[in-house]
Amino acid sequence: MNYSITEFEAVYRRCFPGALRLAMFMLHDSDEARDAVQDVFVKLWEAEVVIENENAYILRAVRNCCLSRIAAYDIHERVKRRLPLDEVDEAEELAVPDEYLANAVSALLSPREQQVVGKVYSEGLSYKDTAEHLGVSVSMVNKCVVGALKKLRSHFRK
Amino acid sequence: MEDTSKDILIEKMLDKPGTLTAEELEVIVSDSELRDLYDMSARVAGGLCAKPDVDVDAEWNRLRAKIAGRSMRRRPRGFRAAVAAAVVAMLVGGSAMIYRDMSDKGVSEELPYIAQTAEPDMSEMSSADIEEYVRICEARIDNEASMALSEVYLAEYSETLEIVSELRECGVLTDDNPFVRYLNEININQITML
Repeated sequence: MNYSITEFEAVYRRCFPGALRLAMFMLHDSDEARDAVQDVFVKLWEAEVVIENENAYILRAVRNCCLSRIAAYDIHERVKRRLPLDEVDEAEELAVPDEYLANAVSALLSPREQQVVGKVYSEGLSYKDTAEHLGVSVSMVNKCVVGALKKLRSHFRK
Repeated sequence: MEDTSKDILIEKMLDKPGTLTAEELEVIVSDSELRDLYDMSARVAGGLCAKPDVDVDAEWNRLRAKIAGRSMRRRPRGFRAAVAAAVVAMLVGGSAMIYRDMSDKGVSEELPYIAQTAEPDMSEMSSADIEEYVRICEARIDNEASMALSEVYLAEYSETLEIVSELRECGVLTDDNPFVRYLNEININQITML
């Protein structure tokens, strides 16, 4: 990137939040996401390219960097990290993935399903801990999660 | 697969995916419904996972420290290749000048010492590799130049001995002459380390 350090800093501060969000969406790990974004900006600094749309370029670079990292994992590691087995739709990734999903969750799911999904996915609790927090059975938690995932899958397939 | 077994597998897949066995993974990958469910779960995990409270200033400082050392190396690819080519040309030109000097002094025209090696592709070399290559070239040229100059000195010494010998025969120089005594004491084998 043929910018001065001051210009580069301005680009970094402008694009970093979106880049980190995308990396978090793809990698599910904050340290990995921060490293991936750093790698992209370091390569950008050294590249001899003229960029018209910096945000789009950086998001695409972050996506490719994350895909390379995911591809390096075997299937066991991917499943352990809850990473997709297939590539996600590019248009969806480069948009605002987490807001898009959060809107669908609040629009489509019942209050109980939203509660359970929040505990399991946002807070990272196990089924057992979620059941204890909400005062329900583990099988109820599983039923809510499966029901929620099926509703969301139908919605995104349209 | 029975419904009960499938429900148990789904629960394990969504709650503790890290504990799935290889066989269970194979079942999930080969079953379209299970695979869809897993993929949707992965997307929800990505979309809803807790966003870290990242300090942008700290991240910028971390990045700045990384790129600071790379600023010096940040030159156009063509520029590096051009500098390397210029340095090699200077070294080769220097050795050509030594070669011409050797020819003037009657030393054999062919310099047997300088090895002919193929030049590497500079455009693909890092700056550290180019510097190393230049150092090797310099050392090689220095070595070859030293050996060529020693040949010159040997030739000059031989010439001087002939002249002194002629002058002694003519009676111009006697054995008492300090220069004649010095020449007689020189061990040429020691000097050339042959």
